Amino acid sequence: MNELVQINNLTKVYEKQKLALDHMNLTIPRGRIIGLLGPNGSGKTTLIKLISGLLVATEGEVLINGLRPGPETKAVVSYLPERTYFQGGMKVKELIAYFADFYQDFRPERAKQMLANLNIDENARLKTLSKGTKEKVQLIMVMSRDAQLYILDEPIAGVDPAARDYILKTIISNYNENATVLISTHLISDIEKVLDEVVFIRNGRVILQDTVENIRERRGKSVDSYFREVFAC
Amino acid sequence: MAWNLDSDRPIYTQILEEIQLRVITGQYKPGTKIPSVRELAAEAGVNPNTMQKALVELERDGLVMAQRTSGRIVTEDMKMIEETRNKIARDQINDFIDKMLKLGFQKEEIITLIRQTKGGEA
Amino acid sequence: MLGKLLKHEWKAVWKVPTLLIGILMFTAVLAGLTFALPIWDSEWIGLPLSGMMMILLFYFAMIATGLGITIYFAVRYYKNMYTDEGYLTHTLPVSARQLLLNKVITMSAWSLIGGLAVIVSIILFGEVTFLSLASKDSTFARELAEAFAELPRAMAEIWYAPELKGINGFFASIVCLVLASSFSGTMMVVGSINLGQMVRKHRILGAVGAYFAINFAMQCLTTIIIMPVMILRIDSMYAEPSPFPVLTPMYFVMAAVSLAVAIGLYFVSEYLLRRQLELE
Repeated sequence: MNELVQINNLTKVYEKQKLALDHMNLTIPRGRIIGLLGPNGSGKTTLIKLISGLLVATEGEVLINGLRPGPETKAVVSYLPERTYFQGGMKVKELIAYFADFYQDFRPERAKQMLANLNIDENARLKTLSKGTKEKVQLIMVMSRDAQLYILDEPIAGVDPAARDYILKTIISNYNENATVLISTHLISDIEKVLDEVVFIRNGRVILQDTVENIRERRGKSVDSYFREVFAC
Repeated sequence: MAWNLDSDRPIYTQILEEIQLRVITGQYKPGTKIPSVRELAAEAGVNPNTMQKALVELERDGLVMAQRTSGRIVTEDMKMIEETRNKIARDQINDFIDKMLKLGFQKEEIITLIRQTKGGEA
Repeated sequence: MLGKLLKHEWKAVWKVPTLLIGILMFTAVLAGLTFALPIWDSEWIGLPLSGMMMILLFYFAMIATGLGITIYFAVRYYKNMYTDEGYLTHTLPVSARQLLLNKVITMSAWSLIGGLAVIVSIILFGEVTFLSLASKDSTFARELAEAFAELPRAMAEIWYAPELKGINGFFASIVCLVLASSFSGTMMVVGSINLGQMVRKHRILGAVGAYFAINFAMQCLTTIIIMPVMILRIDSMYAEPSPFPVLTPMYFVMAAVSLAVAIGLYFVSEYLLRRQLELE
């Protein structure tokens, strides 16, 4: 079986010659929870958008199950962007029907259960929900799929500790052993216990890929402290 | 029940210790089922693969046993639980003594100190 | 998947244009009903003026319906494709072609429905006006009834008059033009928005610029192609009493040009969505 995601020589240049990804090479295996760590502007979001098919590479390629991003890969990738992407006029239950219609791996019962746990009314219109509730609905939608790859872009930035714990528990209890979860963040201490592996990126390049236990064992410090050391300026 | 995990030691080791402690203190009673990997991982807020690894290690030690149907149960071998308890106690005492020796105390002084600290009941 | 996209799209959009069309029909009836009121011969200028205002309102409603539908769908397209909503749109397991076809089919259909609604509203206004006048004046009512009874025969007579020679072809050309315009009007909006995305720093401005550029280019193209047709037909313009031998080919040419431009814009759009997508 090939690797879940294979990234070869991936380069993205935005207008004005801004080099966001610089000939990046990276392999993302199956069945792991992986932290994509780097300071702001290091290329995390660009990489995620390229895997999700929201951008087109300048050079190099992204292969998911050996395929370039397209309808087949989007069917197995569940992506949580930083933004809320709903059409405000929709009701929560219409959103569930929408996801169920397009994503074969979507499990409506699971979504309904999680919504009920949070006392979110399925008949509410999305535009009437608070920002925090909208973000939770979006996380629920994303985690209610039996995807092969979950991509979560900064899922815990700007949320309170209770919401953060809820998010982490949702991730842990919904992910299955054959799936991989890729979490991008710059808040490492909150999340490192959940991770198998970390990938450090800087200036559009991978500078380290290792397991959390290896880092803790060999360096005798948390990934967070090690990250601060590596990225100290 | 909270899992207080340090940030600078391997998580795997800490999970192992916590579950051992729960068995010894009877929070997980002999012969009863312990929560699933997923439940434990969610409760502790740790990676499920790490939790799985820790449980497999405990299985190898014999403290828990995999059931044919599903899940794991705590061993009913009270001797094994007792041994584990003693081993942890010995490890703790050794750590303690090491630290005290570093502070320049002699063994007898340490024992005296313990007696005084605890109000000399012993 | 295209079927599912169309289903959800239709469900999401039908309300706004239906409301606009409803308002249009309502103003058409109101404007026609003013003729039933004894306001037109009033001494006080205010009453006939308010009647005229009502008719003017209907006139604006016709413009607003067409414009409203176009703007509503343009904004929706932009939001769905290129703002935060695009993060969901472009991660659905569908191809760029399906996404585009879904939008183009829905928008063309509503553009056509909007156009037909305007025609229907004019007929409605006419009927209500006749009936209103008839309600005030029994002589007029009798004459009107007679005229309607005569209508089929009169129509048949006029139809074959030399002045209306070729009217069947003319109607065919109108139908072609209306159908082509629904599609090309949509593609001009969609194509402009997609092209505007290439001006990465000013995407909306880019779209507006692209719209005027495409409009200008299409008019130039139409003129260039129509000129020789007109010159070739100039003899018949004087030889025949009917205007249709000139008008019909002109409309066919206009339909063909807008169809060709629309197809071109479609392929450009598909390429841009497939190969140049860059969500902010």
